[in-house]
Amino acid sequence: MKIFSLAVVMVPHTGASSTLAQASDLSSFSFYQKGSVGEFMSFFSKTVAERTPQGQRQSVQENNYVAHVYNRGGAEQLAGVIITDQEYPVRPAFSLLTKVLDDFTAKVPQSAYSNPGSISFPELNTYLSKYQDPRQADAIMRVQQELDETKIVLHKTIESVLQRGEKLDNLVDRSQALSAQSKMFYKTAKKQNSCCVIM
Amino acid sequence: SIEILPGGLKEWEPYLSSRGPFLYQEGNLGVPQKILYQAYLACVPRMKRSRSSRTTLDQTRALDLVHLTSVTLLANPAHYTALRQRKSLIEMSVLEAGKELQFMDALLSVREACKQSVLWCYRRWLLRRIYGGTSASHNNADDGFSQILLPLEAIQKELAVVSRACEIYPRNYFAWLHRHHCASVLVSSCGASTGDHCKAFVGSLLEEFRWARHWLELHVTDYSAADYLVKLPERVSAITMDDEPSYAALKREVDSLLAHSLSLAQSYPDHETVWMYMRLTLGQIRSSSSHNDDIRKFAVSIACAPSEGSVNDGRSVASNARRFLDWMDRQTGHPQTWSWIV
Repeated sequence: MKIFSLAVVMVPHTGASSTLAQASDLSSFSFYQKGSVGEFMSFFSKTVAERTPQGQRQSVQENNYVAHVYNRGGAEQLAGVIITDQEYPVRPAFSLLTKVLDDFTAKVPQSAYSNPGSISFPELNTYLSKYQDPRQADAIMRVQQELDETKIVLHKTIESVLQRGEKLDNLVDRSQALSAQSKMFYKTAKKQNSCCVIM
Repeated sequence: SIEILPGGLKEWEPYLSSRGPFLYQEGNLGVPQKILYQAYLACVPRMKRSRSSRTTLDQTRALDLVHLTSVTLLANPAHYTALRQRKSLIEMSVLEAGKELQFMDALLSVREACKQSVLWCYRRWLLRRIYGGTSASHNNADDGFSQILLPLEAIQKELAVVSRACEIYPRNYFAWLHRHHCASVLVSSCGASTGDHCKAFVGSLLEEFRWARHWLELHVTDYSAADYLVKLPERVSAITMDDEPSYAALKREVDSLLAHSLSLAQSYPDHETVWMYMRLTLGQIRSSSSHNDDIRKFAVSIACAPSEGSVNDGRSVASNARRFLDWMDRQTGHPQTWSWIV
């Protein structure tokens, strides 16, 4: 079981969202895929965060990945996104998101959100590493309110969270966060129906 | 490392190396798939022609065969003829076994390659040749290391190669099989060596226990890992050691597996593998009656728990517990005292 990525995304009611902090573990990916996989983790995180209503949690599967999202909303308008493999258990994933958001709001002032490059939140890397073993999350789960898992919507594919008329291929094409090489990688792997590591 | 990239020349042209139609950065080779398959189609008939020629193998033809078989194996890692050809080249001293092992290291970083049984067998043949001489490699009946001892560094290197292969291709049966062979020779070396050498091997074996436990904690659906971990005690029990502290340390590791299997079942009861792991440890390691009681109580509590929401599939959790209790009753000769709960 593996956590690939942890991200804190600001999702305002109006205007564009922005990723305020991100940590990833790409050590299991090959040399030439690593960069593109990292970019797609960011893209995936932002895409699902933007399409999660405030106050809600949802899980989105895409190939071998699952993105768990908690859009806490509130005054800070923050969402937490964790991307794991399909083996990583759900409950610790959401517990970790709650903890990350609590710690982030306590440590990073809202005035810094407009300049994500200036934000320092090294705890994200620490959590990513520590909670690779989900049993480490037992301690945080004990102090949190019991999670009602029946309220978490599970989507079997990212297409199902997209709005009517939206296509994943178009979103990839238009994304400024994805490099030309990553877009090429995605299109080519999809065309060949390869065992697609990227998405 | 070596990687096969999707696409062909059109997609990768801006990134190609000046040396050829491939990418090469920081010692990592990336070959576009379409280019590789075109090369493969050209290589196979040339390789056949080269084999069927009756003239003796000169330097040029030998090098040609090395290149042809390299490309063939990259495109088709299960190409037994190409591998057989490389064996012949090693026997003729055209290829050096140590360098060939390095080539295999790179090839085993390719996803499709690292699951191929023939490559792992070939790797063991190379190791027998390097450390056991030509006679060891001629014994086709022995696929393992029963006739030779490997130096500690070689064993550790092999374990690292297997670890990487299991990350690249999950639940990699033939990689685990290779690890079994390595564990076997590691344990034999503990029994066969003395003094500081023995301590070094025992240290490595203790580390192997810890590694396997940690691996299983992070890969709870990997039955091969559970099977491997539980076979370690069986191997340890087959050797005798004079060094008491070393033996005691190994015994502690062995005994820790009982509690370890229960803790994994408590954390991940929805995964059948952890219940099988618990069965395996109970079958292999003598446990106290109080430990057996704890396990039974836990399994009964799971079997009786109400079916929860769909996230962890409550029905499969209870079913795992019931099957385990069935097994436990058969092993201990207990009547099915819990069956009224169903």
